[in-house]
Amino acid sequence: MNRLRESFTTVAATVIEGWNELRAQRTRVLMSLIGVGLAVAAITGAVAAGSIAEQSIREGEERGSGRAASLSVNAFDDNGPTDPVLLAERLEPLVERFGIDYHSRRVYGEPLALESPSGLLRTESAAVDPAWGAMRRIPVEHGRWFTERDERMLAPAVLVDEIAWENLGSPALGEHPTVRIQGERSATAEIVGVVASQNSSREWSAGTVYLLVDDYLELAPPLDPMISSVETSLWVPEAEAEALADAIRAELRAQYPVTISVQVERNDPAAWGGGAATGLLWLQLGLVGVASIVLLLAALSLVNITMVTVRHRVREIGIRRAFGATGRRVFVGVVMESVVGTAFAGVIGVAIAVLALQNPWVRELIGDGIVEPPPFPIGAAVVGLLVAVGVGAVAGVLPALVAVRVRVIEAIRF
Amino acid sequence: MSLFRLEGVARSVRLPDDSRLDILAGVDLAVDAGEHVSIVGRSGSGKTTLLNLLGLLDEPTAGEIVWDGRPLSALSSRDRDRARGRDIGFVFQQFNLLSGRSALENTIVPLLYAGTDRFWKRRSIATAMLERVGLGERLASTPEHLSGGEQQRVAIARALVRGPKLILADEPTGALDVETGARVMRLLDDVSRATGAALITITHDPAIAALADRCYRLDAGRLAPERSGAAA
Ligand SMILES: Nc1ncnc2c1ncn2[C@@H]1O[C@H](COP(=O)(O)OP(=O)(O)O)[C@@H](O)[C@H]1O
Ligand SMILES: [Mg+2]
Repeated sequence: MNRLRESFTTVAATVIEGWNELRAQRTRVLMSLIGVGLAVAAITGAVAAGSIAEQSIREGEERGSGRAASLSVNAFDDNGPTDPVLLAERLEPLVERFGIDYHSRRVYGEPLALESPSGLLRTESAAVDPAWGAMRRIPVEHGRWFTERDERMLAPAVLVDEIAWENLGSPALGEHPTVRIQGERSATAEIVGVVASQNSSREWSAGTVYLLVDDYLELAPPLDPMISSVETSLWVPEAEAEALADAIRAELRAQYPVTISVQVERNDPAAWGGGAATGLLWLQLGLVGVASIVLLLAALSLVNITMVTVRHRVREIGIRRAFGATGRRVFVGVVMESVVGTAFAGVIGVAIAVLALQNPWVRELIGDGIVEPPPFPIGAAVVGLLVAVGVGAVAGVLPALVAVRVRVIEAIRF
Repeated sequence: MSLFRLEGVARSVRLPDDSRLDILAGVDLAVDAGEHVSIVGRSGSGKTTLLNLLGLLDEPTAGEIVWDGRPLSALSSRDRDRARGRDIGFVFQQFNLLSGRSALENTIVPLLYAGTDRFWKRRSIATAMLERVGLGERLASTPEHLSGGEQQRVAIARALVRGPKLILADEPTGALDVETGARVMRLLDDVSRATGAALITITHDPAIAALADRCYRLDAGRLAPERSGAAA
């Protein structure tokens, strides 16, 4: 009974195998190409996600301490920072002289109260110069950032962060909403833009209001160096950063008494080696590792299948050689077959990666709060395609060597 | 000057028991451009081995083949591949067409290796050649849908499509009935004369051998002029 079943199985298997030969071959080619495609998608995706996440992390750091190259300017005496207004006055002509377009102060000032429908909001204040937005990539969600013109307007222009905006009832910016600000004095300001919230949580903060330094000084009590700190930043070309820092330091030192120490130093992340996204790096390495194994398996199965098809075609190869195909031609032909297949799979794989990274949910995950979302990194797509073509070429070489060694005489002899 | 010349050509193979089998010995033969030569011989007498040598598919173990004025030993394998594609067309007993490929695609094969001009005109050249062998209506038919005689005519079209100097036909009628074989052979003879190609035909059939200008007999690896063929 068992023997009968066994023989039946053998016969059936042989019949089915014969019947399916061509079709099975195609399915296996397809399977291995799907493997190549998925692996390429994973590798491309990992590389691309890495560069997007890197952008996100870099932007985060730059918001904190500036883009490359940012110089921070300080003047201290024994008691701490000296009068920031004086520093600004002395810096102004130097900035002009050295042609520095981007320079800004940032006053970490006293809270200001905004009149809202539900009462007074005690918001944090961020007083800056117009250049600050570009220097720190401040993410403006609605409306616009400050312009030079805002400095000359009588009614102050302000931006609020999302938390403050919501607390104010999310007024439409198209309708030029105004808000009454109370400090030492009070004024009515136009809200020109909304900024994404920076490290403030809704529970702890009623939001932040951004205003120009001069407007802040109008509203707030006189600057007390003990309470409010002022950061003065210059954003300069990286190549000139050091020379400019030295020159400005020298000029300022000449204007202050020796008891005051003047510092002009780079403080952007690039200056101290940049922050590496180590956690992400491990994730990327893991993804690339798994993808490499998939790729290896797919390549092996591709080699296997191409081998089989070459053996099937020994007679055909012999005939072609009898009619003038050189060995090189046969070799390249077999390699090309494999390359065309994997290149096609590679294009599909890259497309999958592009689509996956276009997905808002995935974007949110890897590049939280990016101001300048980078387009799909071309480098990653190139890496993916090169990997695909490379795998095709490597997988094609062995079968191609077999094809070249076909002896014409034997191939066409019956 | 002769198209090719064989001088004392021998071909032997080493058998698995390490003994030597001499398939051909001391073969001398010179064929001029456009000449038709037939070779008869019993099965196993070395005819195919001789044809493989003439077709630059094999090398002699002794002697020299002078092809188009150059000794074969001076040509690289790449040169030989090129010369074969350019100058030689094969017609086999078993047709050796590519299965599943149409008559047109089969006839196109040699043109794939024939350089730019003919590559781009391959369809029209191959179509003209198939019309010439009477298959203008069967361009799209695969070998599976062609009779033996038709398949051999496709093979003749393929052998001649690059305009070779030499056609090597190894028992071209061996798989056909007598009448079909005679017609196919006459076609091969006519078309190769019209294109000026030399033709070497291996055959069992004295009537077919008689179509040639000269007839040889191969016996136990030795080539000798065939008196009866010349007389007939
Ligand atoms: N590579 C080889 N190894 C061993 N024997 C061979 C080889 N090639 C040919 N032979 C033998 O040489 C003889 C001549 O073969 P072949 O040229 O094919 O004869 P023909 O075409 O005249 O029938 C045959 O006996 C054949 O078995
Ligand atoms: Mg034979």
